Amino acid sequence: MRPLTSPPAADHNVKERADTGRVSLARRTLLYEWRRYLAALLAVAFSGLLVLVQIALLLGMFRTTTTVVENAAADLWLVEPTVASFDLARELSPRAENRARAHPAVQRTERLALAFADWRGPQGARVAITLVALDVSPGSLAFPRSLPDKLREALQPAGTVLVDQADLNKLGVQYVRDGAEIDGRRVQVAGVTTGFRAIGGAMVFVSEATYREIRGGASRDTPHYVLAGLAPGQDVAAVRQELSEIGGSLFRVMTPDELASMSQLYWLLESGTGIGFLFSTVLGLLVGVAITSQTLRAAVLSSLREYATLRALGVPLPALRAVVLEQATWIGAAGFAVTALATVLVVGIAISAGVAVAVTWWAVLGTALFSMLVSIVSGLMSLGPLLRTEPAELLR
Amino acid sequence: MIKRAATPSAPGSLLASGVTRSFTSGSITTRVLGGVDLAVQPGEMTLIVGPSGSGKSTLLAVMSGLLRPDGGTVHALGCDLWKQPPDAIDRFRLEHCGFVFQGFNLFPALTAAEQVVLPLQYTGLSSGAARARAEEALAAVGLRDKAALYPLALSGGEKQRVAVARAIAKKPQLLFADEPTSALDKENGANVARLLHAIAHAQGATVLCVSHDPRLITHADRVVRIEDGVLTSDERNTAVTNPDPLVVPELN
Ligand SMILES: Nc1ncnc2c1ncn2[C@@H]1O[C@H](COP(=O)(O)OP(=O)(O)OP(=O)(O)O)[C@@H](O)[C@H]1O
Ligand SMILES: [Mg+2]
Repeated sequence: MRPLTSPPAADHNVKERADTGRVSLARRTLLYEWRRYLAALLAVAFSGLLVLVQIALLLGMFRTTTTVVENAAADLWLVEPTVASFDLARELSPRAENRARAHPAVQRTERLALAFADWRGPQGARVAITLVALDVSPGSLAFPRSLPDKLREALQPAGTVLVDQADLNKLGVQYVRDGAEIDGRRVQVAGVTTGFRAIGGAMVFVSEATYREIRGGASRDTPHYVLAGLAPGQDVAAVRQELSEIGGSLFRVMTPDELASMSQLYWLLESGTGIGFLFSTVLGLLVGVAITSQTLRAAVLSSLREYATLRALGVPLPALRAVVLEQATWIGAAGFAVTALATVLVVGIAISAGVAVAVTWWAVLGTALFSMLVSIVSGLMSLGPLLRTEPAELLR
Repeated sequence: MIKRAATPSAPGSLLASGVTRSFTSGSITTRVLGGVDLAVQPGEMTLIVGPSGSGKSTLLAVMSGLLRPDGGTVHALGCDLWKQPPDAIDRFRLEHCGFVFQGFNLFPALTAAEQVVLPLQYTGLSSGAARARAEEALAAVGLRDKAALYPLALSGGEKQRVAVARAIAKKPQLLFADEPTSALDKENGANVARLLHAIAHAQGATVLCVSHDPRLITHADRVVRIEDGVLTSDERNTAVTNPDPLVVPELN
């Protein structure tokens, strides 16, 4: 029997609960039956991890083409407009540097050149190398920030080169001060860099003067890139925009991040590894969707009579569809959160094991979208039984 | 929106005229409803009884907007139901119809209060108003203290009362119940039957109940018998034994 006057405590409770808003069937079911949905969440997380770790490995590999860009102190890079990747350099117009220098916000400009050359080691080993010719004067923008200043000074005497730790064997170099030949000119190894491993061949740093000496008549003294350092406090985006207008068709202006991303993406797509990547991504998508949609479908089936009751009470079908899709969305979001955590772990292990990996914001964003795709597609695929629900069937 | 068409001269809030319905399975077509005429009155509980397979559930489905008849018409609250497009019928049920089924059909993840709130949310009520209504409906079925419990913690009778609360919380003008007591023991069945009866009388709702459970007969104001899809008798129950109603008339 109902008491005539209701206890005030109960009314208070009602008000408090009212403030928490709508009842979300999707979320309440997910939390209540989390064990059921765990499989789906892990499937989404795992397929996301598969994608992200693969990108990280590929990027780690292709990043070797852009270590110079990422370690330079330049705010902006002037790039020949048709260049698709940093290592596939093209000569800039000689007028480019002057135009950049004329901008009041630009404090310093430098030129950088890349060239393929022929290395002949102390014991006669022959290797195809990439020469990186850069400004070695004090305050250099191009000289890698990751290397000690001592190495920059070591490059100043004409005829000196820096080679990378990882390439010593390949180049046949045993000691600093070993002599070698590049394109037939004598050079001396003045120091050893770390972190500039190349996928094929080797990267060798030289000063601009040494570069001219080696290239001799072949050099037309036109740089491949111009690096610009801005005065402190300048708005990089604004200057970039202004320089772009000044550059017209002579050069593109890019931030180091843009140049690096463009180059990595180029290799990802051009190298053919992109196809392999695509293949395993589709595989991950299929496996993720298969498990997730089965889980969601089983959940829908187990509540079919309840859903049908809501239909009888007049709740429109799209509203029920939205419940399943909301569940799918949450699974996607939570699955991606697990992916992110697991990636931090895996990448950490890879780095400490010396494996080249790299994670970029767009790879993370892409994986987040991928996870959502997996879960939304799964959600759509599990709607079938719901759409066929006939509330009249409940009456039998 | 649904227009209120001029009703036929017969009184009643729910009118079936010449309703037929057949089912085909394989090559065999069975006629389940053979031209049913029935006028159901508001403010009372009408019970349809009959042997198993006689077409009771089918008739209820046709009259409540869940199953399209092959022929005949259904006028509900003055609206020619099956002339409406499907989404208008959905909306009609949302605005005017409550349902109680033999199975309780409660979501395991929701508390008793949330079971009731959930369908109310789709009627356009604010969540605060919906919660207040749910509270009221649960109190009316005597479950005020159990509002925070999950179905797992409720007895069969309590579950069915939650289902009744869910059906009546929107204060429907039409309340349909199909075998609402078949899964319950004698006492719980009687409780639910009394509830349905009291809702008809307290709110002036049209309560149409279908059952083969003879225990329900004592609670109904009117008992209609159906056999092989044809109505065979229609009697008023003058002495409704309905002591101790659980529903407090102040539900409105
Ligand atoms: N969807 C359907 N497909 C085929 N036959 C059906 C369908 N729905 C009902 N029937 C048949 O129609 C007849 C009447 O069914 P209905 O459910 O209306 O009976 P009932 O009177 O409610 O019986 P019970 O008391 O057992 O619930 C039965 O013979 C049943 O087999
Ligand atoms: Mg039946």
